[in-house]
Amino acid sequence: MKCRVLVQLLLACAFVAAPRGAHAQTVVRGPYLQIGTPTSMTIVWRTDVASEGRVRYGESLAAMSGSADDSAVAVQHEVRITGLKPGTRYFYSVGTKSQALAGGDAAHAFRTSPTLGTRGPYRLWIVGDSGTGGSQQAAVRDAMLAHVGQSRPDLFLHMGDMAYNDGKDAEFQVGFFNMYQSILRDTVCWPTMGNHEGHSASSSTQSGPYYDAYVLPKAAEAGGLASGTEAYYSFDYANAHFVVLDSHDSPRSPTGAMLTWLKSDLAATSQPWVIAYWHHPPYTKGSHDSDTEGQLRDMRENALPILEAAGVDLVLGGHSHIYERSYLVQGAYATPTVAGNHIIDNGSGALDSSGGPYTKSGGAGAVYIVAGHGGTGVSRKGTHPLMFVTEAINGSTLVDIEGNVLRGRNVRFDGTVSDRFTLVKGDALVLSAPDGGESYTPGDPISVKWVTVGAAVAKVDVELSTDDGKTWTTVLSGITNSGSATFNAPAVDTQQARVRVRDSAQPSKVDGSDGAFTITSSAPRDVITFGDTWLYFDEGRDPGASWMDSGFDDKSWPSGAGQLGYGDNDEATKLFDASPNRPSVYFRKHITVDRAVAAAALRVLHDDGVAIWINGQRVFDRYIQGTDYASFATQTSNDNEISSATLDLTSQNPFVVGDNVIAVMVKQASATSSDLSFDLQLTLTLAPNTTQPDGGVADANPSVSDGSATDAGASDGAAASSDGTPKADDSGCSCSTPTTPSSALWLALLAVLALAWRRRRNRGPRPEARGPRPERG
Amino acid sequence: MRCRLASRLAALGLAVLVWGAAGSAARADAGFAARLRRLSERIEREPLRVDLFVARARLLLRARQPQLARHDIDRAARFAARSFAVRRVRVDLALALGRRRAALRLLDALVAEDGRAALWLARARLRLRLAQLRGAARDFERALEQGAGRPDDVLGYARLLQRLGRRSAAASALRRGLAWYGGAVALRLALIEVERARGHTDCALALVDAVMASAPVKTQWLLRRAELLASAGRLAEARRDRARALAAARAQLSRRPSALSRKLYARALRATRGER
Ligand SMILES: [Fe+2]
Repeated sequence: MKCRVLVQLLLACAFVAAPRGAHAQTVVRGPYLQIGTPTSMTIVWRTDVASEGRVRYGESLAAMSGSADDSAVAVQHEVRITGLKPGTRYFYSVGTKSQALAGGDAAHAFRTSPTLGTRGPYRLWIVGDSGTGGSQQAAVRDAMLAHVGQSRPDLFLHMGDMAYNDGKDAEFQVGFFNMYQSILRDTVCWPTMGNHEGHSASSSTQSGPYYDAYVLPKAAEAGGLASGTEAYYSFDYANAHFVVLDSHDSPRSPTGAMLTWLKSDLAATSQPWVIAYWHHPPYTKGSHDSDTEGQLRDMRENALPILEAAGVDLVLGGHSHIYERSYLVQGAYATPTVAGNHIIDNGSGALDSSGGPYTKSGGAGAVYIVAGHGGTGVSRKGTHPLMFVTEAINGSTLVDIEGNVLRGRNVRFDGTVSDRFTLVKGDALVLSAPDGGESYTPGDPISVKWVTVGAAVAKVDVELSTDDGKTWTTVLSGITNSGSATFNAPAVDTQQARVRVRDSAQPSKVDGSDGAFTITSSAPRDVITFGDTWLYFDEGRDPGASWMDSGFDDKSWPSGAGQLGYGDNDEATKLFDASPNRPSVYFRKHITVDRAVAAAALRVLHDDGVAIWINGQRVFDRYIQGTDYASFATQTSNDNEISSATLDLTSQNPFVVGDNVIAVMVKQASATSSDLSFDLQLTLTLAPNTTQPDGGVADANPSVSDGSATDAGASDGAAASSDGTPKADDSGCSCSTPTTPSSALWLALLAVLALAWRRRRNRGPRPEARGPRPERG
Repeated sequence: MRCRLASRLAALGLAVLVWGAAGSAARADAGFAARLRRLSERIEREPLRVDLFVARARLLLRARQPQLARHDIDRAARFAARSFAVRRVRVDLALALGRRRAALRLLDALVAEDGRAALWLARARLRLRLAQLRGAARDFERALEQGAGRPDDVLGYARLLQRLGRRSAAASALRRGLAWYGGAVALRLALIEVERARGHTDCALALVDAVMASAPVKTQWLLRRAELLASAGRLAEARRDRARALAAARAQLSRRPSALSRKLYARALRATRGER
């Protein structure tokens, strides 16, 4: 910091001496966020030309009326905004007093930390040894972003080695700032120094590119006690206390300043969770060996006894280029490390395993993670006796905390989730599905799964939020606690759905999805499936020239389920098998869509030729030339041949909003062919709703908010059947044969519900679109 | 031309030596190996660059290969024996070889020529290890005057002054350190102890109160406060703080049932019972 001041002064002199206005000023680094607290945020950026700096901010883009200045004339700008509201989103821009140079858009926003002690949920992204600027680092970053979708991390914890090879300023730019810019502008990064940064920076003088880049607390600006140095520090977020140590360049002796501070800092925190990290891990057999290397050994022998005595829950590190995750362990300080009796729980910590999650009682036990796999080459010397998972594959780690439940997962560079564990303190319900990233269409059954830890729970409520947890509605109330339940996705378009399960008798015992999932009617959906019912006409004559039109009167046609045909003994509906064969058989089916069709694909099972019309427009044919009754197919098909096609809707879209008729002609290849077959599957993608329900199903009772939802009306239409039976399709598509009165009634009911939904929709879709990547492995 | 070729060959030979002998260190640290390789390649291309030899010597010292580092330092000294960087790294080499007195002689010469704080600090640390306490104190003072050093250096200096019986100077150094290092808790604890030893109870109490105000859990500070008050004979106030400490410890034990919480609770309990 002292050195930073000197640099600023020199730059100021340069600025005064230089001719002004030589070229337009540009932002060359950042903006990025530092020292986030419930009421303040520090915004840092660098310009190519020295100037004074100004941050403009506000709760909406339209009203960025707040401003804070950095009066020093410099290229590095560090502006602290104070007086903010906890847990609140602010948009911001950075620039000079006269103009904004960057930001002022939806991408430049931050959320202040929640009020101290808040139970969450919140998400940490843990990355180490990443700073190559190369493709593997980018792949690790992108895999995380794809995995989390809308549920972006709240904090970015960097384990060090973020600027290979020597932590120089230019290496920071390539290996850190350029690589993570889209994350750094909306997520506070809390780093610890790696040995590579230490090549160019000194903790003794708090100078060099590492200390120039970061603005870190040293006087307890974000909680904890004052360390007096940016080299090691602590901060609070929600219900966790984070301790960041310097294993590289600060004395690691038990009587040194760092560990003396650590003891006092830990004794002073009242936060339920304690998470500690530094660069050199206490346990590893990756590219480094914790049994033989000084810094790793020092931290294990000197820092761990202090941390574990204070009940540390999670200890993170990097340096060793590997992913390693321990069992629940305690007390392994000796060298070399042996498992001995230090493994408190030798299970996987996974929810679905027989051992279930790790549970902490009496403050004993911590999970250790080496996350040195963030981008550089990985390697492995062996298997550490305390590690449950070891894999030399690039990736990063996500940790989610909600109340007394902490969950970790490792996301490989290719998107595979290769490890999951859960750590619970006390009694809890722990939700395992849906976990975030899933995609449902309205009407789909949503399978909810959870685990009960500790005291038995008799009945639970299942709640749904469609606005990322702002409001909740009970979709299943007081059901028996069997560990799973199913309800149907409501008719909403949201990328911010979450589910939570709550003890009916003890509402504070609750756990929700770690990430948001999607419910969208704009996802492709099978509106006609094989086996569906069709009207048919097999009377051996021409039904009339307009038989394929939507207005044709088909009331007298009989109906039957697919497959329809004769001669193969696999038909659900046998058609008349005449001899000689009748050349053509006709089929019709009505479907209703309530929005424009954006894409359509079909698969048709046919024997022999087939032609398909939608509302009278011919869209597909196979082995057919003449479409008059008497013409035969142009050739013989395979038995039950299946043909697929994506319909071209660009030139002329045959679908209309409302009733649509699919008309199909199936032709025999000859008068003597033995069989005829037909079935069809139609997949439609409807245009997305242009409006979104506010609070999803909760808008049936808009006053309902977090924690108190008991809205019986929530189980309308598409939602909720406690027995798990899917209810009606409310995706905006429905199929029917018009001769079925009960279906018509159902359609009418859906229409009324759809209208009711629309009337309540008053908010536009989220600006950020995404394509959630399904989890692999 | 021949000279250039000879130096290239020498550099190449040393590089091979370095590679071979530093193999174990390289195997231990892939980053070290890569850095060593890069430096050696550059030395091969530019065998007259003193800074490259110095950089490689530093790297080898970090990898605990002082004999190999010595080759590079000697090589660099052939081109620039008076170079500050070469002489500075020779100090580290002497320390790595366990030759503290030689290191001190080298440092003395450097300090005499160049008054930069880092050198004072380095000599202060070395003198401390050589039990030259007064000289170490002088060097610390010079370094800290310039604002150099870590909280550890201030702590080391203050402890040294206390050993020399200079409590007042120790208190002064710690106060300066606290001002530089934003109220660092490690310095504050040391200063509280110094002020207690000096009989400045009110000063010590004020130091406790300042940090206690921002500590969510105050047990440790209330206990310290009670000790200070008791040793000053202010027993009623001490009793009150012990009671507050016990309540805070009990609450913390139920909130965070750790060994530390149990230990502080037991301490508070003992303190409360001991007073009866
Ligand atoms: Fe490292």
